[in-house]
Amino acid sequence: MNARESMLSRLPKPSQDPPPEPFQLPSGDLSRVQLWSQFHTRFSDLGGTIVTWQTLAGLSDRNWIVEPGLDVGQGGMHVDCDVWNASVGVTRADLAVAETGSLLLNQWPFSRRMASLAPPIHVAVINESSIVPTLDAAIERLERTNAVLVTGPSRTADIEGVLVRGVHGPGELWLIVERD
Amino acid sequence: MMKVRLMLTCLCDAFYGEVGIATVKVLEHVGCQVHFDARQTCCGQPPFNAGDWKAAKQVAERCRSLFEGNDPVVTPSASCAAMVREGFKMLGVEPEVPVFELCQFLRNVAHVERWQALPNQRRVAFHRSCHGRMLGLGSTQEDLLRLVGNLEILPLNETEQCCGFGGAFSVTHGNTSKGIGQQKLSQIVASGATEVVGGDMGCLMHLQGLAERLGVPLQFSHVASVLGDAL
Amino acid sequence: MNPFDAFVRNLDPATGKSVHDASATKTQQRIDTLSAVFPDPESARSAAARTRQYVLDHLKPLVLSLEEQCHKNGIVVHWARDAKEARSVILGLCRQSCRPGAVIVKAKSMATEEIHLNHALADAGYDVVETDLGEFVVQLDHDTPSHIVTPIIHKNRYQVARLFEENNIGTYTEKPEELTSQARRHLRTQFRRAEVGISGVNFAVAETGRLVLVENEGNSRLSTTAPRVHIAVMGIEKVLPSEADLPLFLRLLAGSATGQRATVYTHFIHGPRKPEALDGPDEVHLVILDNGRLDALAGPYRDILRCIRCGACLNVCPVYRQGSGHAYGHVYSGPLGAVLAPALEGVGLAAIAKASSLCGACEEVCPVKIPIPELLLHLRDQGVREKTIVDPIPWSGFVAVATRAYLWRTSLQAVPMAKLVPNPWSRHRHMPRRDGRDFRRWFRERA
Repeated sequence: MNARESMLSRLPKPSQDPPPEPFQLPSGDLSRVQLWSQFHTRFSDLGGTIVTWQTLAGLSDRNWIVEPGLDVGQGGMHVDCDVWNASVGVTRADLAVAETGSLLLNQWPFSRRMASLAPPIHVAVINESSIVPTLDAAIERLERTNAVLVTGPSRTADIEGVLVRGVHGPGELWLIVERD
Repeated sequence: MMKVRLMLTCLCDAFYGEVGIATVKVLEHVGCQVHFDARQTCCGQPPFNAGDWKAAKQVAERCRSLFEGNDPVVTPSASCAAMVREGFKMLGVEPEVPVFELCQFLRNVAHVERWQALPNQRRVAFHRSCHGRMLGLGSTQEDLLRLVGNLEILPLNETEQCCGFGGAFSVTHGNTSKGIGQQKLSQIVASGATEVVGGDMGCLMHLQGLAERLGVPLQFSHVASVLGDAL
Repeated sequence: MNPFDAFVRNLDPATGKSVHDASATKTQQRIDTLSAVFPDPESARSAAARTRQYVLDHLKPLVLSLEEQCHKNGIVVHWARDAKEARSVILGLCRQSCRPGAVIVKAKSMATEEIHLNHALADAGYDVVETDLGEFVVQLDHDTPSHIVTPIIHKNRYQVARLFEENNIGTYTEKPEELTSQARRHLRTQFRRAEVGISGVNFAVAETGRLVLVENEGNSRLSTTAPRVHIAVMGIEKVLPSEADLPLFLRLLAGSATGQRATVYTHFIHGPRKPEALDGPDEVHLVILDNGRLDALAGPYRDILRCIRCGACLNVCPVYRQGSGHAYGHVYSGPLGAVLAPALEGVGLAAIAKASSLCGACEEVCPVKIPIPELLLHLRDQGVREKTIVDPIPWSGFVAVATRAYLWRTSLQAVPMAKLVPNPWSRHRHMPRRDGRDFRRWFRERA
């Protein structure tokens, strides 16, 4: 018997009980403005920063990696380079989650997973309408793709519990919110 | 008048007679008639925790048969109460004995809502015994003590932490037990209290022995004694 | 003296302090976070316990569904009955992908610790690199993790700094920020060269075949994104029925483990890169591991398989705090390990179940309400019956006394005499004294 069959044969026959109802947190009835306010508090507490396109202009001398299709326009900064050498990575974010201050990044055909991961600064761009109240709502909207939920800049507390940002992922997480 | 049966506990039997006496005084004060069966010995917890369930079962069976009946059995120990209530089930020792930890009995059965004041002001730290968890004791003992005038319960950090006694654990894992006890003592000292109150003489015996060895000046009192002192 | 207590006695005070302080901080952060996240944390724990129990009761259809969905998504599923088989499956996959000498990056994973994978890969000539900061330190120091979530809870910054200096990772510094950036620089070159990335799995969703990994540093994302091949290793019990179950478990895991509302990165892996995608691994493999789990599932300790490896029981445990994970002598430590190690490997390891005061703090914090003290008691019973636990106390003598009122009474009279002889109690503490009157005499005389 191969490993699969032998393992399966040892699993007991299950009962017909239905699975327990998944637990959900009440999503509340916050307005979009209130959701963004909650998001902003959590996102900032984690060390994230909400910025504008103007802020990025100050970084025009750095190496950038930009997800295809995103127009970073300003002053011909549209530079593409080796992801490992980039200082700034710009990607879309599909959803903001007010409960946790998180950003959901799906991997679409045009997405560059490494752009949100390798450079020391990750800039995410999101539509103002793309906010959900809870993790439940965010996970409900997962697509049949790879995805990552980003909750603040990369961090560790491995050495004496001291919080350090920017271990392997970006130490800076910036968000640009675009009006619809 | 409610008839209750006292389960003295082996530690009160061997060392802490005054705690047993205070328990009787307190129970009589709330209108109970206290019976004591002199044949009682131990609930069987020491061998039960050690894993010798064959030995534990013999002692537990004897204990159960002695306390058969419907009148409440009251004991000044969350540990013994938990053994009789939960440990007996695991050993298959049945039927159930209607056992109560003293404070749980006073609050939930005798419905005590007021208590006398102590003759002198005392500032104490309260140590929760871990076996209270098995009884769902929560803050019952502290709530009861808050009814006592002239008694201030000082806030204590890390109240969820064990004292390190653990019965036979205190001798089989002596260094570990001592280390845990030292942590507890340092929290107690940090609270500013000079007296520790608890509901289990096991914890208090261990902490007192450790405090005396280390030269930490602390008094140790059982809840029953504090309640008794106020009468 | 048993090995656990001997370890505690010999532990240097600096290590003891590191372990205690970090554990106490994490315990408080857990309480603060869970009470902020959930209106009623208790009901959340109950719901999680029910779902995990359902999974254990329905593992067969759930794992079959997981396999089928993974297959649809392009994830190749492998099965391994024991550590040896798992090592050989993984080694086979590595050999298909790259030559000996190649770099294999690893994200933190208890399952791979459990099967001692690193040695096998190194013996086959691969350059295996742990990339979680704590695991990297452990690997450099030829040490083992002392906590399932925070592997270097037993080390301080000075030890890490000296280690980095000796290994040319960077110059000596006592700043955690600088030590971290030294590790980042060093490991970057490894990520760029790596041909295979190996990770664990936190949850695998039966309904959709999605693998969920949580982390804070980004090394897990890099390990599963940058190399051409990603191999994920999971214990067979790590399944959840549906995606809708994820939010509760993600909240409980982050809150219980590190006091966060969500870990920095929650990685939802659906499959290898699509042909048109710009990056991501070409191959994703999932190794489903038994290694004693199916024995445990059929035995009296099956509840321990509900565990989601948050480490909250280690942090709160007074006994763990005295010894660190190393005192347990097993990959899995703390209250969880004291049950899981013998549950997976047999009652021969039951003696570790004695390293507990049975205080019950573990059960109180467990996000899936595993009755750990009860399981420890059952292990002790089985250990004594099967003679893998030898108790220094002769309980038959105790029974003889405790079942005879007269003998009991006489013996108690003699107990205070114990102070006259050296005994294990008085090694650490003063002997108890009588506090006044004898209860029995008092009660008799008042009647």
